[in-house]
Amino acid sequence: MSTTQKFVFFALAATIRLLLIYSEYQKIIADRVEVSTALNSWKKVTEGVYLREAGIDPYTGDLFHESPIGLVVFSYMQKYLSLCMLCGIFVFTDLATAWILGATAYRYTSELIATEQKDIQKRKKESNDEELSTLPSSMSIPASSVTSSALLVPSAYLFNPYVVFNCVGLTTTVFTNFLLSAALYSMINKSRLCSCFTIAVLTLQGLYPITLMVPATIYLARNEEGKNKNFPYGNINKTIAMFIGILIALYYLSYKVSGSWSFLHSTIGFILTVPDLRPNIGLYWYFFTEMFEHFRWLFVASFQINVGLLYVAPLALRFRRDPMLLAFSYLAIAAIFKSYPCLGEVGFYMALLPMWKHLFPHMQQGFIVSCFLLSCTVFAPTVWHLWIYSRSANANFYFGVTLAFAIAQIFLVTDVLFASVKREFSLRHGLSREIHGNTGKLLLE
Amino acid sequence: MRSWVILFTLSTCVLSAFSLEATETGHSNNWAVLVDTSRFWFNYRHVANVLSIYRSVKRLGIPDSQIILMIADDMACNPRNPRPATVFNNAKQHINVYGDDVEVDYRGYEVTVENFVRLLTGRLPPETPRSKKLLTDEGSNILIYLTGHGGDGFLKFQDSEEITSQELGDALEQMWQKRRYHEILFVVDTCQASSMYEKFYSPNILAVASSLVGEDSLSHHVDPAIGVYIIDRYTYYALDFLETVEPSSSKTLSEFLKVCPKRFCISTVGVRKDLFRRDPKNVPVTDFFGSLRPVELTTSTVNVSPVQLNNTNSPKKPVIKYKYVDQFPDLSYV
Amino acid sequence: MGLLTDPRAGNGAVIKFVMKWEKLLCLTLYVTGVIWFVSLAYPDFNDNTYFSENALLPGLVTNEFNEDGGAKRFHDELLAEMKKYPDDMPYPWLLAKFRQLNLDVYTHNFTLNYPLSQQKFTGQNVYSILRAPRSASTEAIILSVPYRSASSIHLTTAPSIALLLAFAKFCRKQNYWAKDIIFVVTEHEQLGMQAWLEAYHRCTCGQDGVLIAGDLVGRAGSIQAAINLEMHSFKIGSIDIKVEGLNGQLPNLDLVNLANKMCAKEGIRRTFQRRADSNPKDKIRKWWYQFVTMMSMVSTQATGVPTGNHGVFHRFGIEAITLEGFAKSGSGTESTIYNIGRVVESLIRSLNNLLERFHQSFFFYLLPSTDRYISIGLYMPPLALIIAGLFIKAFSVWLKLQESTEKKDGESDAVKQAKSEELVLSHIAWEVLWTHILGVATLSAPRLFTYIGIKFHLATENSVSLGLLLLTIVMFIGTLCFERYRTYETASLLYVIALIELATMLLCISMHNFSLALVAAVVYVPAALTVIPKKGNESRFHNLRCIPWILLHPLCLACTVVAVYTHFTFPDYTIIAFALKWIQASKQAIVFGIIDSMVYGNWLYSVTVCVLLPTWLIFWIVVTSKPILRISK
Repeated sequence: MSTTQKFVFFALAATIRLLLIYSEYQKIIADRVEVSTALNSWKKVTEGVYLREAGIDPYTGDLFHESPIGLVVFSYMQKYLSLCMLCGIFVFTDLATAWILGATAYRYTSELIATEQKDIQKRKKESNDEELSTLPSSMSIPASSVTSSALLVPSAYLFNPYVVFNCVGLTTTVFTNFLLSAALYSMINKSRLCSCFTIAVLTLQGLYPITLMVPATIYLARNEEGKNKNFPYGNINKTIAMFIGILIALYYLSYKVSGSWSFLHSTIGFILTVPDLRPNIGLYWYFFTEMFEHFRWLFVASFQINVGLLYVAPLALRFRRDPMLLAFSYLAIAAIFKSYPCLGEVGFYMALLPMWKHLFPHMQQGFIVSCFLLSCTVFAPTVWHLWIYSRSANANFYFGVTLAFAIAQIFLVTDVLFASVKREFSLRHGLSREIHGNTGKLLLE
Repeated sequence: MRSWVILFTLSTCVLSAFSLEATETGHSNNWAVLVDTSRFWFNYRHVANVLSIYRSVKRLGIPDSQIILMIADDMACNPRNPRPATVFNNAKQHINVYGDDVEVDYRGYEVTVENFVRLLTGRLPPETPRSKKLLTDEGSNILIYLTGHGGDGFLKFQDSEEITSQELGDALEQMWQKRRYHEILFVVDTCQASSMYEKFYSPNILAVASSLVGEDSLSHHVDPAIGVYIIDRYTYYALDFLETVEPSSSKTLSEFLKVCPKRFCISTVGVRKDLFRRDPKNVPVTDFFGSLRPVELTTSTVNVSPVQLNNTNSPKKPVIKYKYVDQFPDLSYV
Repeated sequence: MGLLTDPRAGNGAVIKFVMKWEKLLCLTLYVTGVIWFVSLAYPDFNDNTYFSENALLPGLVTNEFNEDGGAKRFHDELLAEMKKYPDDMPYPWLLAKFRQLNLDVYTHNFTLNYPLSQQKFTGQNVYSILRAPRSASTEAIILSVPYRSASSIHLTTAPSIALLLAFAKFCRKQNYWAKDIIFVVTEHEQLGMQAWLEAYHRCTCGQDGVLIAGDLVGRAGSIQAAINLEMHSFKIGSIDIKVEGLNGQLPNLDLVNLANKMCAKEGIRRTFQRRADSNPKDKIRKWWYQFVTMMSMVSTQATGVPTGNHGVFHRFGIEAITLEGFAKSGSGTESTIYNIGRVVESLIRSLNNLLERFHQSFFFYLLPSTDRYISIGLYMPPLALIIAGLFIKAFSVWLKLQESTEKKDGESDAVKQAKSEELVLSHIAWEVLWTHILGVATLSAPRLFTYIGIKFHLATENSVSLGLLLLTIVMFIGTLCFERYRTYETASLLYVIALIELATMLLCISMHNFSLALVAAVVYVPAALTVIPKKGNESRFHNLRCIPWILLHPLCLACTVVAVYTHFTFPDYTIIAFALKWIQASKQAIVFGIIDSMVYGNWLYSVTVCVLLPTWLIFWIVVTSKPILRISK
C-alpha cells in the first residue's frame, strides 16, 4: 500500500511540475520576484554562463552571484543538456529531495520514539511517581507515526505550492534544497564526511547554512555519548576541523576555477552588504531604500547579526537534545530574515513540519498562522499588480504584505518551538498544571 | 596699484570704525540676499515676488554686485509660459520684472539649504566666484528676503529639503560672531512665516513676517492670461509701499512695518523688534533697501605717498596673499 | 511576546466567547456591515470632493477657445462625408483636415482574430500629434473620440469629432503647451482604442494572437491623461462624466473633480450615472437619491466592463474619463459647442500644468453625486465586517472539530486514528484538487465547445452556453451520484477550507474592484454562513439548505442577474417574449464575458471560473454530503 501510494504521489507531483513548466505560466512564475531573486534566478545563471563562454569574468559586473563551482556545473548543464533534459533535471532533483526528506523523517521519528520510550521507562523505574503513570497514552507518539511522517513529509514537499512554484520557476534553489535535504539526511545518519561536505558546499553558495554545523556537530558528538560520559571535545574538534578543511579546499578550488578572488565580492559580499534592492519577500529592500545612506552600515550589520548570530547560541542550548528541531529553526530563521529570501526556502522548511506532528496539539496559532500565510500568498501578486501595472497603489502596500508574511512565519516558528518545550514539560511533570491548588500556566520567558 | 587698494580699504575701515561711534546708523555698505526657495510652474508667484523685490532694491541703489539673487526655477523659459522670457508681478502686466539686466547668482538646483547657509556664514570653497559670495563686513546692512512654502518652524527648499528656524538662527549668530553684518532686516513671505524668526538670538536683527504661526500667507491675484497666481499678498503691498520710496526719501522703517494690514493681507504681519537696537521710527527705509552711505569729512590730511612701480624689484618681493582678517566676537555689543 | 506565548490564548475568554456566540456574532457583523454601507450615502457620512494636486491650477485661465464657427463647418462637412460612406470612417477627409492644420497625422491598422470562430475583423484609427513647441516630447495628453458611422446603433459622435478638429485648430495657435497633445479618432469603439494603446505601448493585454495591434509610426512621450469625448448633439443639455474602467478600475479623483468643476464653471448641467444632483432639504430623501446614484455606480463597476473608451486607458496607468454630452431633454439651459470647447480647453490646460502623474488624490472611491465622494477608508470597513464573519465561522468550526477529536482520543486506539486521519487528509486534498482542476479546465473550455459546436453547425453563442450548461448539470448530478463516503470531520474541514478561500478571494477582489467584491459578499456570505455540515441526525428539512446553493451557482447567478436586467430594460414584455429575450441575453452575456477576457484581459470570467466555481463546488459538496459516522474497513 505504502509503496504504491508513494509512487502515485511522486508521479502526480512530477506531472504537475512538468505540466506547469511546459505551460504559458512558466515564464510568469519564473519572473515573479517572490520566486526568483538575484541569487537564484536561472536567467542570471544563463547570463553568467554566457559571459564565461565569451571569456569575460562573470563576477566583474553586478550580474552573477552563484559560486564558481556552481558556475562550472551549470555551464556543463547548459552546454550538454537540451532544454527538455534540463527541465527534467530540475523536476528529478525536486523529487529526489522529497525522497531524501522522507527517509530523514522515517529515521528521525523512529529514533525519537525509541529515545522517548527509553526515557519514560527509565524514569518510571527510578521514581514511582503517580503523575507519570497517569500520563495519557495520547501523549506518547504512536508507532504508526513513523510511516505516516515518512509519507507526510515528502508529500508536504511535493505538493507544497511554494516548492512547486520554485521548481517551475527553474531557480537554483531547487539544487540548494537538494543539498539541504542531503545535509539533514547525512546528519541523522551520523556521516561526518557527508554532512561536513554538504554543509560546506551550501556555505560556499549561500553562506547562511553554515549554522547547520551546530546541529550536525551535536548529532556527530552524540555518537559516543553513550560510551563516554565526558564532554566529547575530541569529536567536536574533529568535526569542525573537517568542515573548515573542506570549506577552505572548496574556496581554493573556486579560486582555481575562476582564476581570481573576485568571486568573493560577488557572492559573500553580495549576500552580506545587500546592494540589490529589488523587492522580494524579505525585509531588507524596503528598509534600505528608505534609509539614509550614513545609517546603512549600522543597519546592514544589525540585520545580518539578527539572522546569522543572534539566535544560534540560545537555540542551540535550549534544543540540544533535538538537533533536528534545531536545524529546522535555523533554516526557518534564515528563510525569514536572510537578505534575498525566496519561496523555495520557505516551502522547504514548511515541508519539514509534519515531522513534529506530535507537537501540533500543543500549538496555538495554527489556524491564524495558516490563514495569514494563505492571504499573504494571494495578496502579494494582487498588490504587486496594483503597484506596478495599475499605479493605483504603491510600494508600501507590497511591503505591508511581505511584512505580514514574515510575521506569520515568525509566529509559526515560535509556536512550534514553544510547543516542543510545553510537550517536554508535560512529559516530565504530567498534564495537570496545578501548583498549590491553583491552575498554573506555562510561560516562555 | 595694489598698495592703493590697500590704502583705500584701510582708510574706509578707519572711517567706518570712526563713524560707528559717531553716528547712529553706522553702516558702511548695503547688501541684499533675495531667495525664492520653490520651483515648479504653479509657484510662479514666488519667483515674481523675489524678482519684484530685486527690482526695487536695485532701483534704490544697491548694485548687482551686492545682491545675491537665488531663484529655484526658471519661470520665464517654462514651456507653459504663454509669454516667453517674461515674468510679471501684476495682471495688468505693466512691468516685466524679468528685464534685461537680471543677474541670477544661484539658480535652479543650486538653491539648496547648504548653499544658503554657506553663503550667509561665508564658508564657501575658495574657488567660488565673487558673484556667489556675500562679502559683507561688520559695517554691512543686509536685507534678507525669503519666499516659498513654509510650515511651523521650517521653510521648504525645492520640495526636497527644508531649513528650520533654529538652523537659520544659528547661521545668523555665526554671521554675527564672524562680524559679517552690522544690521539685518529679515523679511519672510511664507505660510506661518513668523515661526522662522522666533529662534533668532543675535543682536541687530529686525524681522518681518507675512503671517503669524497658524496663518497662511495668501496669494494676491491670478493673471488669467498666464493662468497662475501671480504674486503674494504681503509682497504685493510691500512693493506698493516701496514704489513710493526714492533714494533720497525719508520714509522710515516703521512705515514699512505697517504695510499690509490684516484687511488687505488676510494674514497678520508679524514683527520682531526686540533684537533691534534702534527705533524703527528713526530708521530710514533706505538703510536697508537703498545703498546710501554716510560720508564722513575729515579735516586732517591723509598723506598718500606715491607708489613706486619698480618692475626690477618686484621679483624679490615675496608674493603676499591677502585675506580677510579672522574675526573675533565683539563682546562689547552683547 | 505575550501574544506569541501566552498559553491562555488556546482556551481563553475570546475563544469561549467566539464558540458560544458565533452565530449571533456572524449575523451581527453581516447586518452591521450592510447597514453601514447603505448609510454611507447619507450626507453626513461622506465628504465634499476637493483638489489635492496643486499643480493642476484648475480654471485659472481665461478661456480663449473661439473656434465654434470652425466646429460648425467641420460638422457640416463631416455629415456630408458620412452620408457618402454610411459604413466606413471617412479617413481621407480626416487625414486632410489634420494635414491642413499642419499636424503630424498617422493611421493605425489593427486586426481582430475573433477568438471563438475563424473570423477576422480589421479596423483603422486616425491619430495626429501636436508637438509641444518649447519642450521635449516626453509627455503627452490624449483627446480621443470614437468614430460611429451613420449605420451604427449607438448615438452619433459626429459633433465631438468636429469639436476635436476645431480644438486641434485652436491648439495649433497656442505656444504654451508643455506636453504633446495626441488627437485620436478610433474605430469599433473600445476595440480600436485598446488596439491603439497596445500598439503605443507595444504589449498585449489579452490572449496572444487575438487582437493584432501592429505598430505605430508616430509616437509622443508617456501618456499622462486622456479625455474621451462623446457629444451626441451640437447643442448639449447635460454632460455625463463616466469613470468606470476595465475591471472596475477608476481614474484619479482629481481628474473627475477637474471635469466637474470645469463644467460647473461653464454653467453646463453635469450628471453622474445620468442622474443630475438633486438637493432636497430633507436629508433622508437626499440620502435615498444619493444611495440610488451610488448603487448605480456599484452595479456598473461590478461588471468590470468599461463604460466608454476611457476604460481601457486605466490599466496602462493613464488617468482617463469620458465626457458624454446629451441633447437637451425637457427644461433647463442649453450649452453650445462653444461652451464645451471651453471646458475641453480648461481641462487640457490644467493637464498641461501637471508636473508628474496623478498620484495625490484617491484611486479608490465611490461617488454618490458629482461633488461628493466616499473614500476607501470609509467603504472598506463595512466590507471587512461582512467578510470577517466568514473567518469567525471558519475559526469556530475548526475549534469544534478540535474539541470533538480530542474527546474521541480516549476511546479509539491510536493506530486506527492515525489511519482515519490519513484518509481524511487524502480525501480533502483530493476534493480540493479536483474542484480547482475542473475550474481551470472550464477556463479553457469555450474554445473546445465552439470547436465541437461547429461540427454540429451551432452558432458560437449556442455552443458555448450549451457546453457550460451541460457542464453545470454534470456537476450537479455528479456530486450527488458519485458520492464518496464522507465523515463529519471531512465535511467540516472542507467547509473551513471553503470559507477561508471565499473570504480571501473576496478580500483580494475588493482591492481591485470593490463593487464586485461587495456584491459577491452580500450574496454569498449569508449562504456560506448558514451551511452546517451534517452529522447524520438532522431533520428532513435540512436538505432545504441546498436550495440557495443551487441558485448561487455562478452560471445560475449570472442568468438571474441578466433576468433582472432584462426585466428592467423591457418591462412591458409578455412572459414568453421575456423568456426568449432572457435566454438570448444570457447567452450573449456569457459569450461577451469570455470574449472580453480574451481581447481586453477582463478577469471577471477567469476569476468566476477559477476561484468562485471551485469554492462553490466545495460548498455544494459540504451541503449535499451524507455523513457516515465511522469508516468501516
